[in-house]
Amino acid sequence: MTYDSYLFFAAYALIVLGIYLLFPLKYRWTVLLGAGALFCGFLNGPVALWVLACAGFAYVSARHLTTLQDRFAKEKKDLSKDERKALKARYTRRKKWTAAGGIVGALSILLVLKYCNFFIGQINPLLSLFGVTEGIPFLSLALPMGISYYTLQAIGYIIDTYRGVCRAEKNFFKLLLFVSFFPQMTEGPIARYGQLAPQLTEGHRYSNENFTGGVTLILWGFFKKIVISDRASFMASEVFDNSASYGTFALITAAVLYTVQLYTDFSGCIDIMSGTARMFGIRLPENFRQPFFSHSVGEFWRRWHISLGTWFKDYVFYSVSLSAPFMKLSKAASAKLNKFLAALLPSSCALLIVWLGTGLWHGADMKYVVYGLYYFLIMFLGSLVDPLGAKAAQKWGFDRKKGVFGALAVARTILLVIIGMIMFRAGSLEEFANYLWGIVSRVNYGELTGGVLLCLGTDTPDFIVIGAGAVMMLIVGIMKERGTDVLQTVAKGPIYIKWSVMLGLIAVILVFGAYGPNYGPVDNIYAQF
Amino acid sequence: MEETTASKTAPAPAEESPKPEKDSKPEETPNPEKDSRHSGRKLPPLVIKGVRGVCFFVLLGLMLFGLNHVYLPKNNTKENGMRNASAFSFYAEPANTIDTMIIGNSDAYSAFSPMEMWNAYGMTSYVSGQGHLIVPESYTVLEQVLQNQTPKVLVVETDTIFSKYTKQELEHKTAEVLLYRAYPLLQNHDRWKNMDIAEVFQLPDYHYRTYAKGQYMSCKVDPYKGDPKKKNKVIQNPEMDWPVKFYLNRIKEVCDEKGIKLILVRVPCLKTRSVDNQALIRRYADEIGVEFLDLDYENSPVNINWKTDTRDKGTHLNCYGAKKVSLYLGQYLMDHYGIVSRKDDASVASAWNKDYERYQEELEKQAKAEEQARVLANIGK
Amino acid sequence: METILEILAEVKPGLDLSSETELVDSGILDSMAIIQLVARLSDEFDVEITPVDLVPENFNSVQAIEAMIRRLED
Repeated sequence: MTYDSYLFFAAYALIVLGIYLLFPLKYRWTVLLGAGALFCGFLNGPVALWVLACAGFAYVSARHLTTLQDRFAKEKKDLSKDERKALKARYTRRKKWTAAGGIVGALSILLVLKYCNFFIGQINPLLSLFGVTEGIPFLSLALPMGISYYTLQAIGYIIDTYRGVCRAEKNFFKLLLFVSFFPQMTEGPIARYGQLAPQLTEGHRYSNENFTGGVTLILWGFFKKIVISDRASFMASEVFDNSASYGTFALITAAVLYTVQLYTDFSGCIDIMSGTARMFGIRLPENFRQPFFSHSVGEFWRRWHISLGTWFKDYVFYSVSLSAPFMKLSKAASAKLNKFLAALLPSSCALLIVWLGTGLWHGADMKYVVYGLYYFLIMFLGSLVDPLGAKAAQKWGFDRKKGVFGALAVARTILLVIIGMIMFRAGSLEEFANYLWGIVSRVNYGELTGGVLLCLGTDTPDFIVIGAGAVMMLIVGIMKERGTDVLQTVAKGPIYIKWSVMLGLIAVILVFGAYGPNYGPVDNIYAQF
Repeated sequence: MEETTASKTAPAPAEESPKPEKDSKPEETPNPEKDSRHSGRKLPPLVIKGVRGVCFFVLLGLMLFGLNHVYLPKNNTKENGMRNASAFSFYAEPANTIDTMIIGNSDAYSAFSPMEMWNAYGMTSYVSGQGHLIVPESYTVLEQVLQNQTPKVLVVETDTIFSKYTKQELEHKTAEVLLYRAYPLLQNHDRWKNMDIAEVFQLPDYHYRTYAKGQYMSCKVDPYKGDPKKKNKVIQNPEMDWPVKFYLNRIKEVCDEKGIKLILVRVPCLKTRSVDNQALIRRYADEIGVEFLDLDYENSPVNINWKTDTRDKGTHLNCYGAKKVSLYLGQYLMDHYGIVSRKDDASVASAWNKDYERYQEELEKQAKAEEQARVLANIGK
Repeated sequence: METILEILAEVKPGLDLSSETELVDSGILDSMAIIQLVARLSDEFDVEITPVDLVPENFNSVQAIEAMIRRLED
């Protein structure tokens, strides 16, 4: 979505809110369902119907899982312990098949629509080895917006039902609403059924606090997206698109700017969407927690795109590493290796799977596979080295999270993340390598003094705005780290503060936003996934 | 637009919601501090909420109005932040002195020379052209023209009808054009970068006249080297996109209301020449009962020489091409559209004669510079 | 209790965690460490720890871990 689509989105959300409040409490959820359907249809056209299929798989398989669960609970009552065990094993097997059916169904839609050309591209060279020269033709399938997000949400729901964390929803339309709640349609966040679904269906009264809190959050999101991200995007694109003609300092600046761009773009959009949901009295899960204050890359990924990270942790990482084959692997390893390594091996294998998945989730391209591997390697090496650091800290008596060592750890994390960002932005792995090589080899001090940095695609005032915006975000971030959520404090505060913050944000966005005839429209990065 | 949708939707919840709220007050926890304030004044919360909402939107409106004023160009020059300033200096012409108004894109400002028409026929005209202009924008320009001019004839240049934009882009652009028109801050806001602070306190006063009356004067010659006969763009859109059609119809309606005669004109332009598109426009023109004057075909009476009359290999005409087109169109409008000479009209003539002198000087200057460049190039060889 | 502390020391050497009550929330135990811990615990106590049990509340302190294992042993 571009800035003006956001305007339309905001207007749409306000209209939906008006209609929502006109409905009786009990039926208010139907307004959200309708709004989702309309929004989805508007964004996607006929391919929006895939969401029905996805919800269908989730519905059927979860219903059956809950039925199996209930039947098991009834049958096991008067049985002896051994019989109970046998019965449980039987039911577990059936439940596994049921869940697998649903997951495979939902996932296959995503795989076919998003990844078929990637796989065809990988298979064709293999085929030609066997003398098949024609190859499989590439398909041109339209990818519905938000499919990467709602599919994961639906799968999470199936697994939660399988694990007995929640019971299946009986009303298909209520489940459909959970999968297609309109603020989540573009960039998530990926919510949990138990946490989101009750909020969606219960019906909320209007509350001033929710409304102003929501509006403030939306404005803050607009500020991040339109004032900072869109502006940074012009400068970053200029350098990334012509990287061969820039030297070390411009390349580094652009990498930093791109990192700023991506963060403000994604978190800004999430703020807009969370703010929209909050106007309806609905809380979406947190997706960012000041990621750039992290002491390690692992911590970074627990604070960046949180909903995706925890999804992979809960449903892939834990499932895989606690599965029977992995437990066997761990036992076999502990017989042969030392205890530390034996414990590390299985979890690392699971971690590898998680990172390949995370990488591929971002896009059907080898680049993203390597992107995933990059983070896997960092975290794997990190956990190998970590005990040494802990021992050193103990021996010499320093705290690794405070003072100079803390700052160094944060700087190291940011550096590693920025390298990841360069890979993420580069068109291909080759471009990524060239970019890094450019940073190392083309040291040109003239760039520092000649003003090249100040006119990357735009001009000096733009740089100042980005700098000022970043400082503002930093202050808000530091305050949040210290336990004060500025935006919510404002929303709860006295009216003159509330109003001046809201009006001030509107003015800043209108005047300093990077929109209009002198700036082209900039698409969201995370909406492509 | 923002203001109206917001004020329609946002206060509604504030007024509507208290009804269900009343019976469940205890379980909700409204801000205690607010309530104590209310009880002191003994006003029902509904009224307070309503008043508060109204106050907020009044403040918002004032702020939006103020910001808009701050960044509005205070004169119609580029330095004052006027976009495509040369397309808008009709603002500075005395009221009702422009008889022929021409609106179009870069083809128009390259192919029409109001000064040649003045010199040859004494007719007063203005060409408002902007690069990549779309028809909805032609309409908004017309609206602005009508603020202090009522031309006798409106010439809509038709290269704007088939733009480089897809239907979706066009819809998007249309929305943008309308937004900019409704709330100019949206296109002026980035003037904070280089605006003179004094402008904040001035009122807009568009008084900068140009002698070229919107023409982009270029005597550069860059010939088209191919065979013009073979130039024909194969049709892309089998139909006009709806925003184009809608706003052409609007233009026709407005012209009918104001008694302005409308004529569609296609000027010579090899780059976008298309038999199919031109046939389509002709059909449309017949439909709404307007003449379509097509000057873009081989052996058209304008008699363009693609070796000498273009400044960029057949895309735009130069000043020599513009002279040919203008003389032809001027005669045509005099013959068929009742345009008359204003040479005897004292209120206009002296100013326009002066403008023509400056126009001549500029032409000579450019011709000389071109000549020098040619000589230098020959020596180089 | 002792065994659990020993296992914890294997996974996170060099730290005294016996009185820590926010092992997960403070970031000492990340998901990698939890999995290593679970692998050793299930081996040692012969219990089946499932993904459902992997919530912060069950791992925030040694006492919580012990309580979880008691529950699973039944």
